[in-house]
Order: sequence, then C-alpha cells, then structure tokens
Amino acid sequence: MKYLLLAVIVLICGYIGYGLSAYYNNRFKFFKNLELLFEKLCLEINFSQHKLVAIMKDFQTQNKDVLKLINNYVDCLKNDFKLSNELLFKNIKILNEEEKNILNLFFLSLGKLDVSNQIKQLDAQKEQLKQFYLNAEKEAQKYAPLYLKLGIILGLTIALILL
Amino acid sequence: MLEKVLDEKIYKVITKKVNFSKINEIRLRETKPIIIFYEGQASFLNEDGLTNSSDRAIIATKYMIEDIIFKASEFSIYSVNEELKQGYIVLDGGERIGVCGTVVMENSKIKTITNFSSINIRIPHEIKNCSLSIFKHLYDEKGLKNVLIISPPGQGKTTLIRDFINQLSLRNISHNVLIIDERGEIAGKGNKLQIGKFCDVLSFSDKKNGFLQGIRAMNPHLIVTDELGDDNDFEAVRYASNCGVNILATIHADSIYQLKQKQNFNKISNIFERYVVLKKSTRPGIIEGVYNENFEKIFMEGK
Repeated sequence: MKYLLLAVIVLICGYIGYGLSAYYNNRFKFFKNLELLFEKLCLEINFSQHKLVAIMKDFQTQNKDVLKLINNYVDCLKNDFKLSNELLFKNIKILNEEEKNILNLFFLSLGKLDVSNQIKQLDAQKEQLKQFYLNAEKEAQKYAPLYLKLGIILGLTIALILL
Repeated sequence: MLEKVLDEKIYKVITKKVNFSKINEIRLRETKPIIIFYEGQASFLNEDGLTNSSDRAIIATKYMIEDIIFKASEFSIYSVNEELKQGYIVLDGGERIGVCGTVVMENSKIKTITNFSSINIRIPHEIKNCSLSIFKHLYDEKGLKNVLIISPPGQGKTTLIRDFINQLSLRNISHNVLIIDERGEIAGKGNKLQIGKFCDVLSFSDKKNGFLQGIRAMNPHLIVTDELGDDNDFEAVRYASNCGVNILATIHADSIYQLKQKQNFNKISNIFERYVVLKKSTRPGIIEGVYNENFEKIFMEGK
C-alpha cells in the first residue's frame, strides 16, 4: 500500500511537470500555426481575394487554440465587430496580456484595407509573429524538458523522503 | 441582405414603422440626419418612422457609415476594392451602396476610397409585369428588337429590363440571354433576382471584355446590359451587333432629344430599333413612350 501511494505521488508530480512542459509546447505550436494562418491570409487575399471568414474557416489545423481563436474571431465579426481580448481569446489560456493586446490589434486591422496595403500589413505582422514563434520555440526547448524532469525528480524526492 | 448591413435600430424602424416596399433610397451623411426617399420624396428618419422635421431625426455618424461599408464587404474591404474604386458596392439582393469619401490616387488612377463620409443605399424593387404594356413592341413575330431604355437615374430602367427578360422566360421564348452585369444589379449577387430560366450572367465584367468573352463562350441571342456610358461601351454594342446578337441596354438621358446630343451616340444610333423612354416620376417604371428606329413615337402609356 505504501509503495502504491509513493508511486501515485511520483505520477502526480510527473503529471504536473508534464502539464507545465505542455504549456510551453502548446505556445510554440500555437504561434507556429498562427504564422501559417497569416501566410494563408496573405496568399488568399493576394490571389483569390476570398472573404476573411471563408479563408479562416478553410484553414486546416489540428491546433485547438488556433481553432478557438478563429471561431472566436468569426463570432466577434458577427457580433457587431466587438473585438475585446475577453471575447477574442475566450478559452485560450496560453497567452500573456501583451501578446493578447498585439494579436487583438492584428485581427482588428484585418479586412479594412485594399489588397496591396493589406498584404504589406500582413507581412509586417508575420514578422512580429515570427518573433513570437522564435521566442516560444526557445522557451519550449529550454523549459519543456526541464519542467518534465523537475516534476519527476520532485516526485522521486518526495517518495524517497517518505520512504 | 440589408439586415446584415444596417444598424439594428435603423433596420427596425425602416421595416417595422415604414412601408419598406416604397423606400427607394436611404442616404447617410456624416453628422447629418438620415434621409429616406419614400416614393420618390425625401423625408427624415426618426425612431417613430418618417418625418418632415429634422429635429428628432436619427443622425448618421462616421462609425455608422464605416460600419455599413465594412459589413457590406463581408468584413473584407480588399475583396470589393474594384467596386469601391468605381464608387459603389452591390449587396446580394441587388441593393447598391454608393459611397463618397477621400479618393486615393496612384499614377493618375484611383487606388481606393477611404475616409468614407456619405453613402446612398439604392433599394431595387421588383415591379411585376412592368414591361407587359410594351412587350409587343420589343418582341414580335420577327423576333427580338435591339432596344435602348432611356431615363435619368432611379426611374426603373434596370427593373424594366429584368422584368422583360423574365417575361421572355415565362413565355418559354428560349433565346439564350446573356446578362453582362457590370455592377451586379440586374441579376443580383449570386443571380438571386428573378431573371428567368434562359439567362447566363457574366457578373462584374466591364462591357468591352464581357461582350467579347460572352459572345465567344456562350453563343447568346440577346445581350442585356445596363448603363451604356463611354466609347468602350458603344464599341462593345457595335461589336455585338456586327456579330448578329440582339442588344437590350439602358442609358442615362432625360429624353430622346438629350440622347441624340450625347457625344458619340451617332456611333450606335443605327443599331437600335426601339427606344423606350421612362417618365420622370416619383414612382419608377412608368413608360413615357416607345420610339422606333426613326425616333417616331409608336406607343404611349395609357393610349
């Protein structure tokens, strides 16, 4: 029974470590997918000139947070274009306030310019997203394995002390 | 479609407190009262409906105007910029939103319009059978005539041609009709308006390219188009006529006399066999008369 309890403690600590590591991995994947979305916007606006909602809905991604962001944005458009951070990032927990504010500005400026200016703006925004993506990648490389290991070590340490 | 574009408050008033079917135009000018053209007469819009006093009228704001344009573009201004450059956006239901603002020029050409300051929403109305009284003058046992419909803006030219092509369809006159719909007003976006079953629609194409491409690709018997304006349009009509295709077109003019004064009209004057002049009236679609190729009146409404 005692050993079982210790194993549970190790598992719980490992899971907490995994959760923290997943947070960094998810941020990295989110920005990577967002950059792809903006790439698609650039291409579609430049060539097909499809409507924003159609381009967004057509974007293929497995990333749940990017899907949530797209759905929230479309809902905001239909809801009299009220793009508050609260509505736009509803149920997205991996962004800090500064990132939310910048992304909000990006989305707010979508669809309001002619093709050439919209493309120029998207290119500039892609650069900023690339920066976010690179930072998130660095963070993920640094902290994701670290937190996972720390979680397991913490669990083992507690187990050893209790033993 | 208007409900998706207009401010909820305005939409409620014009649909609940005003007879919407009699509204011709809605005009919004920044910081000025909203004006509704109802049966051709201008009135102010307040929360209870129409009024002659501007005291309690709803005031249009810059935000209101920009919001309408943004929604009309389905949140994608870039996708309607070609239309915007020409000063309008057309909605799915055929409603035309004319815009005014600051024109941005690049290399002596209009690049876009920004800083919108006023809009004019023209609401099309189907006037069923409005072409019936003149139908026999435009189509007889010899077939279709080349027809030019003449009137100032807003007198029902587009409504008349739409009804005429629908009448052809109702009679199963199976001519291939090609609509060159430069502004998407004849058939509406997505061809949602009543145009019958023998029509092909080339939307948002200029007339020169549309006529050329349409004749090659669709083998039409009749080409229908709106608002002939410049030399290119006249050339397109001449080209179609030389190809043996019938033409049904409209042009802005007050009368036959004014039509003849138009620059370069002589280039196409020998093409048309019938001229239909619409009366200046508060009610659109009223026919003043039909003239033959020699400009002799052959039909008068009520006679």
